[in-house]
Amino acid sequence: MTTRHDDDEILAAARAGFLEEADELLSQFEQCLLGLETDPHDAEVINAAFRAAHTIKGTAGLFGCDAVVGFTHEVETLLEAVRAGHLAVDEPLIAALLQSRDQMERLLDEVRAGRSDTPDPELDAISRDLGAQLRALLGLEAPAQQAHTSGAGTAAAAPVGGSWQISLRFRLDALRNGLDPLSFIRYLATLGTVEHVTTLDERVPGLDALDAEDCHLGFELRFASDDADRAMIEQVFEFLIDDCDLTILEPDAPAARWDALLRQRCGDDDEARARLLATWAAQGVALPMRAAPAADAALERPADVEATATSEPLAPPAAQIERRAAESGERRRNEPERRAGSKDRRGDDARFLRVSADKLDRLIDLIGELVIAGSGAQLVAQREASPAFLEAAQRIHDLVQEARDGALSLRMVPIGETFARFQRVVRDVSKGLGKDVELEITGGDTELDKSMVEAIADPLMHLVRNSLDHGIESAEDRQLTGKSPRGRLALNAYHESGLIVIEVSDDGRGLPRERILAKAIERGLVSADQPMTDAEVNQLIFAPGFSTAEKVTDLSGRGVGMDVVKRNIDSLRGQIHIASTPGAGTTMQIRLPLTLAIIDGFLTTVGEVHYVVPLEGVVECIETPPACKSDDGRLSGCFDLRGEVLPYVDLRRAFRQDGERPARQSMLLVRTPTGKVGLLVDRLLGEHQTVLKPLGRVFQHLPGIAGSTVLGSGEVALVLDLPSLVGHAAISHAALRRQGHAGLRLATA
Amino acid sequence: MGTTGTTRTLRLEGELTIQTAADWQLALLTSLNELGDAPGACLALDLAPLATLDSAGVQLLLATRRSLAARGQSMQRAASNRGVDDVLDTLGLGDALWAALPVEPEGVLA
Repeated sequence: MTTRHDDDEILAAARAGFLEEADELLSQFEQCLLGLETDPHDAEVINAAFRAAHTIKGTAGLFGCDAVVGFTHEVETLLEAVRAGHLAVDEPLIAALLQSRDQMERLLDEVRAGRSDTPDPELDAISRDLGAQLRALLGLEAPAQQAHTSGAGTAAAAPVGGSWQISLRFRLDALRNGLDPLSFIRYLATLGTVEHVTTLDERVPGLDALDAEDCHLGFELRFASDDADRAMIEQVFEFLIDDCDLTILEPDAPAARWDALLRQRCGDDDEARARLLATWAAQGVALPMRAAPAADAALERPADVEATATSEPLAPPAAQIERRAAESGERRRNEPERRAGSKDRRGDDARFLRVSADKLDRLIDLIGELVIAGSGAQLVAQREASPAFLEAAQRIHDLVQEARDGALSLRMVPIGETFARFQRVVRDVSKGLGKDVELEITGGDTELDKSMVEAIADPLMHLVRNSLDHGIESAEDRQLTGKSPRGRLALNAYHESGLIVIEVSDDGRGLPRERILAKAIERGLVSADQPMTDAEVNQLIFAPGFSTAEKVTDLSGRGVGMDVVKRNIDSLRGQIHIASTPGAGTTMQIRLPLTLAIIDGFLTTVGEVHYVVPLEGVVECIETPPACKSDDGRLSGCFDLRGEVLPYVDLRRAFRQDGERPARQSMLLVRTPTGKVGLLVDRLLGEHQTVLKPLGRVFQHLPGIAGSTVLGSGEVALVLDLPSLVGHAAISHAALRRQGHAGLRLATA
Repeated sequence: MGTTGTTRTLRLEGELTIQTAADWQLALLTSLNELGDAPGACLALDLAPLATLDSAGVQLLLATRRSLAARGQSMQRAASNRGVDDVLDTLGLGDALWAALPVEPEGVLA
């Protein structure tokens, strides 16, 4: 059956979406918990955590993931108590919630792996243990909670006399979101008796002003049940939480709560207050406001309420204003935030669109072709020398450039999300090591390609753990050396000339040069008499299997990691540098290209071959210095630029191109990680926008070449990989000097 | 649809739900126009042929009542069926929907 098949497909897609969303929510949840650790009273953060858990539970329910629902419900219940102020946020609570987060993740992983139908007994056991732990946290505070809202806690134990008041105000999009108030009321009726329903049409406009899909309805319900408690009623409306303003009052809610509800619904609008009071009176609400001071006598009998409603707006006695202000103030502080929060979220949904990466890549490919075709058109325009054509071609070129930038930015994501994950890592690892470490994040909004973000997460993790374990000393050691007992770990990111730079720095003990050197000699990596700079010594820690840690911890010290980090970063065409000051700390700097499919390049030629230098690496173009002019067969050398001695590479020789050298050559000064380098080329053709095409598999590992590109004229140009070019030139130069004959194995076009 | 004195009857049939609310809104507005603004006029709704009614539909009826009330006119039930009555009862509107609405102060209508 095709429809059946389609249904399955849709369901699978929806499920994947749910899992992805759940991941995001989990990380939000974690952020909130970590935020609470610093400020336990931040109501907004508590709400956000609650919402995240609530949404996970809600959607998991839709997909029948019972294990997730069951467990998340416990988390939600605890957070609810925190949100209501019945439970204080303290360290055990956060620890339990963090563990719960991990458990939720494990349970979701089960769903992802399709194992949710056959629950893992071990996971079940963890769920139960953690659940019990969460309940214990709740239970300890139970007396306080009951004192506060006597109805909720005792509903199950003692039969509740009287009815619940359920006050609903639907938001504009409820109907559009497929939520029909009618069905919720019908469902509520299955749990007990809906004694009174009043549909409020105050907000319903006239027929001509109505958008028939907007929802302006509000309801006041009186509901009686022998066994329903607050949680049960809330559950009925749980799908509405974003689309409806819901307040539930227990049968014996104190006057202040009613008062607060009145204020919440009507604000200071006296007429609205009167109408709502009349509605309640008509529903038989024996207004418990008689508990208020005698001045409130006007409210004692429903008849009087009627009178108040029609004649004079409620004038609360001064004594009550105090109470009301206190309670409704608190309420107001919470309510608008909840509303604002959910609005934001809906806003997010509208602002973001999930697009498959393939489609995006295809678009970027196409735009790449467009760039080439555009350059071609411009070339023709130049040849035709038609001003109108030239102008049109220029306009197209500008637009294509804009489209290109737009398309590329689609793939760019801020690195902050990756950084944020380390909050938890640093917290957990430093606790495990008994260290007190503070994480400082800067430059989180620096953007880089999505695929790079994913690839960099693992190496970063190694570096962070390494810093925590080896770099930062224990609190006692730190105090002995006069440092603050609290260690500092910093993650920083910024853009620098077309590269992204990511730094992991700590204020720990620094790299022990002597120990590293001794270890390297012991392992035969270097010879004892070899003179080594600090930078070279530091690079030794990236050798495979290298570790100086005296004791192996479960985190690091096994010598696995740093070489992997180096390999990973190499594979991204990046570099890692270490700067270390003994006793003061270490900074690991990762430099990555943005590796974009399209680059701004500087076009040059040597003989017949075109070479493109990434524009971000170009410093300046200068006349060939006299030192480079002597054609003595040298591949590289040095020249003097305004008093600065700089190396240069002769591209013609580097790529072993034969042919006559033109009388006049040019020098392109480029920036590489090791400093400025001059490139000797035949001609400079100027800036050129190019699409970087990877080389075929056979040529992939050619040193000095990053890729190829097609020019507008249809010719092929090679894109230079500057660091690798300079590195190989240096090696070849050394080899050349040793062996006394020319020979550089660099690619020839 | 027929006119009896100052009463017009509109027959609602099929669905009166969020899907069709916009269509019915047009139909109701047309009836309102045809009714004119003579105070005391009455729009009678024949709900008997209605198969489905949801909250959006009910809201539409409430809006109609409001528009009528603003012109000093009223809305009546010409006929109904069990399903419709059930919905209205569930929402506590069984009789309340047909009760006269106090004349609104000016400015409520956009």
